[in-house]
Amino acid sequence: MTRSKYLVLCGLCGAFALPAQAEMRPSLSFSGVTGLIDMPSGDQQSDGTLSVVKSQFGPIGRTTLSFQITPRLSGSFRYSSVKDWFNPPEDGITTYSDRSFDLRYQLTSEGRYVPAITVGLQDIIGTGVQSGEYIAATKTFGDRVKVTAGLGWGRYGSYGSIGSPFGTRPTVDFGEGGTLRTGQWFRGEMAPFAGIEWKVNEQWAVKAEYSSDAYVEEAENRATFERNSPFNFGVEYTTKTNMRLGLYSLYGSKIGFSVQLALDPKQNPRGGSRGPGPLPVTASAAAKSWGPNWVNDRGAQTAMRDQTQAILKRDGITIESMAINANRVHLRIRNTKIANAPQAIGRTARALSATMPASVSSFEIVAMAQGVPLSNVVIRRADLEALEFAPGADLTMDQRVQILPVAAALPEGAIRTDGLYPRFNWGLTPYVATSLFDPGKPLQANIGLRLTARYDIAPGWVFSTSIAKPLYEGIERSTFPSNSKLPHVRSDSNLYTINGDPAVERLTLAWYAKPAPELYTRVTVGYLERMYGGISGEVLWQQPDKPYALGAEVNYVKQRDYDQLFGFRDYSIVTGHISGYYSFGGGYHAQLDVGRYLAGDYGATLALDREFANGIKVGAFATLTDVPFDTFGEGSFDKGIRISLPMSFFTGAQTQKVSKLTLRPLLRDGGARLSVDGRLYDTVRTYQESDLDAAWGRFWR
Amino acid sequence: MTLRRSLLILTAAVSLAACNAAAVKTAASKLLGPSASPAVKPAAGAPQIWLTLVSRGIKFPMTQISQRDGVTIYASKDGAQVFLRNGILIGTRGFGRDLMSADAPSPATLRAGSPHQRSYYDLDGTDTTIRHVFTCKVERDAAAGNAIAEACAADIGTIRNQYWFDSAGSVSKSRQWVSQGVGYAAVERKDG
Repeated sequence: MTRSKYLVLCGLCGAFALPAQAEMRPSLSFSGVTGLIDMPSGDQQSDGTLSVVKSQFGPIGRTTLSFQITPRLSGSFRYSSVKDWFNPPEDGITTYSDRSFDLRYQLTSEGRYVPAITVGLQDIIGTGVQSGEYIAATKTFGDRVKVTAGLGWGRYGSYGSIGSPFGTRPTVDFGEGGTLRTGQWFRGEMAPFAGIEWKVNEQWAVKAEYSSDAYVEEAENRATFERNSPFNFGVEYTTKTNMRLGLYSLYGSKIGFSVQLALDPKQNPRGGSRGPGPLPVTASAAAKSWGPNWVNDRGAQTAMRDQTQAILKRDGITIESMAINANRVHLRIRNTKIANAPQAIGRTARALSATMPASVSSFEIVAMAQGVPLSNVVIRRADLEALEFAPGADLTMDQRVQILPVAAALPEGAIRTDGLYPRFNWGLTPYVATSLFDPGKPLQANIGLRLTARYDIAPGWVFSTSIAKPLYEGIERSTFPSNSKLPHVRSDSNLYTINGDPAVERLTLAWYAKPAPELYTRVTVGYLERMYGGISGEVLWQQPDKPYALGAEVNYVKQRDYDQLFGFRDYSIVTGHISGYYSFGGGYHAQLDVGRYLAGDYGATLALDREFANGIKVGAFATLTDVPFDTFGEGSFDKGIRISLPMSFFTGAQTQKVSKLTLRPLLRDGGARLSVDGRLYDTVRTYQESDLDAAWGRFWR
Repeated sequence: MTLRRSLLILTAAVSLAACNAAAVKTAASKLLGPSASPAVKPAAGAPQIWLTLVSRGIKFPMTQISQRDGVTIYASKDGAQVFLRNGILIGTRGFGRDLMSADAPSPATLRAGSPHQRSYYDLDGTDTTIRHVFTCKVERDAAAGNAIAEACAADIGTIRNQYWFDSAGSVSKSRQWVSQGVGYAAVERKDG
């Protein structure tokens, strides 16, 4: 309400309208989900928000990664540790560590009278030590006070119970973990919890809550801390950059802190993309004159290509070839700098408007990757001129362009750019390699230098390598060597890390080709990844106007020596998959891989991703194979979370660098896949209709 | 157990995002940063304007680089651009949350004092086009040198654009809203 007052006030004083800052941004709890201090709330984060919370009180520490999957559904992955848990120590370890996964669904969003109500399931597939369910309701009063009340089961029903309305909570043998325990949900003792948050001003907030978590195992059974009171209090400070820092009094005995980081993909930290504006569109009436006979004059055509290249150089776009006739130009480009594909196409189209003779009415722009053309984006020159200043021009333009399949063969009369092959690139960058969740030392890291080099011999032929030299070796030999009953296809990873100095992570020759306009192929030979070498072949069928693609991959690989130089171990295997890719629209994507995995097991992997046109991607995957859960070992099956963060989003600069993170609670041998570089789908899809449509807003940028 | 990249990197990236937002202000005097190179070199003697970004407190000259279909494009030295149709702002490039396009009133509509609707199109952080439709009324701003003020309201708030006309009926000076991220831009003809 004060929001409108604030804006009216600003209207009067002539300042500018601001986004709705006055609202209370939902805060995150100690468990890393939207909530109060140690209790959850009925709120959700803004759609698409990715958050990390690090919290600690007394012996209890938690690090939680959460993602708002849809406006109502969110998921969290948590690593928690409790000090002094094992007394006497087990295997020399006193700290208990655990991973857990939560899902929350918001039943109602907050209205005038209706509170926000959320149902949460905590620790649904882990070992169940953290497990609990809750329903929480949150209502905002004015714009500074939020009140939450809820009912909890499991952990959240362990203090101040008011009964067991849905029967007793069955004890579950969690075995190796990793399976759903639906039978426990909302069973057993139920207890109420409540709390209040008061926003003092834009920076400071104060919180108080009544917790229904008795910490039975941590406080009563193992005496890792004293739980003297159910009341928690805290004060939180929000920095200008939307980071929150909290200091709390917990359970009448401990001081705790939390650091909350939230990243909303809709809020660009730089406001938007930076960098110079484009070359304005040149009217064809004012087009360059190239004499009467340019159609047959290779010299004039070469000059046209060179002038176009001179304009595009600034945007990191290289022309590979150009074919031109009286009314059409077919330009093949390589975009090395601009992350947004439609923006690169838009810049290319404007450059053509400045250099092409007036009769050339159709621009065919073909993006290339690894020497292979991806699609043919056909733009009418008249549309470019008519829409440059039109309101909502991106949508109109998107409707008028055509995206067509393109064959590898060049059109007749194409002029290739000389001197593009062979081409050598190299880079030397620092790296951090981490080892997570080792029971003894949950977070270790190596720091070193990585040399990468790439030699493009001819279109489609790439020789490349990556060599890592650790300079600081914080990762130690694990005191828990693999006890896997399967061939140790991944679980000896630690041995590779501690023995690779220097490590030839990759040394490959790859051949990319396009035998038909909608068919892409790859063959890679050599040391494919740090643990395997051999040969890998892949085929992808992708039509430009379809939201799906189909692929197949077959590899014959041999396990490499731990030192990651040139030797091999005895284990070899034929592995491969049939893959289906589907874009549901709205940024939701699915991938299904069915085939044979590295340990010789057969099964399928399903991956679901939420993607944004700015390049941020968050997804989860799970693999079920014919390996029984007790043979697989802890975790029962392979699963994890994957995140891509493009640097351009954070810096606003034109760069295609992306930080990728794959987080697995456990890395074991079942359901393990080869990690070969240059898989086709990710490269090809960028210039197909569904990806171009999603990112088209920047065509005119 | 070894993972090549970790939560740490994510944390670093998230905090990087956090830091960068703060860095914008300090870099504000240079809109685009040192690496920017403009698309076009303006012709010698091309007309110039002064542009002030009110909320960032920076003022810089911009030079005409193109004129087509009644729209003039001015560019700063580092390549940021504004699009003006008869003095009315219909686009920016390189300001952060840019105005990508606009359905804006003509100077005649403003001078006639007609109520109207106008649309601003910008991109959110995910590069999705967002259209903001404002309902506007036109009034005389006696306190501000008899400017014509365009007072507009939309769900995201209210804005107030001001235009000063010369005797020939052209916009000689203005103060126009760009976007939620940029705020207001003041445009003035540069003499000489």
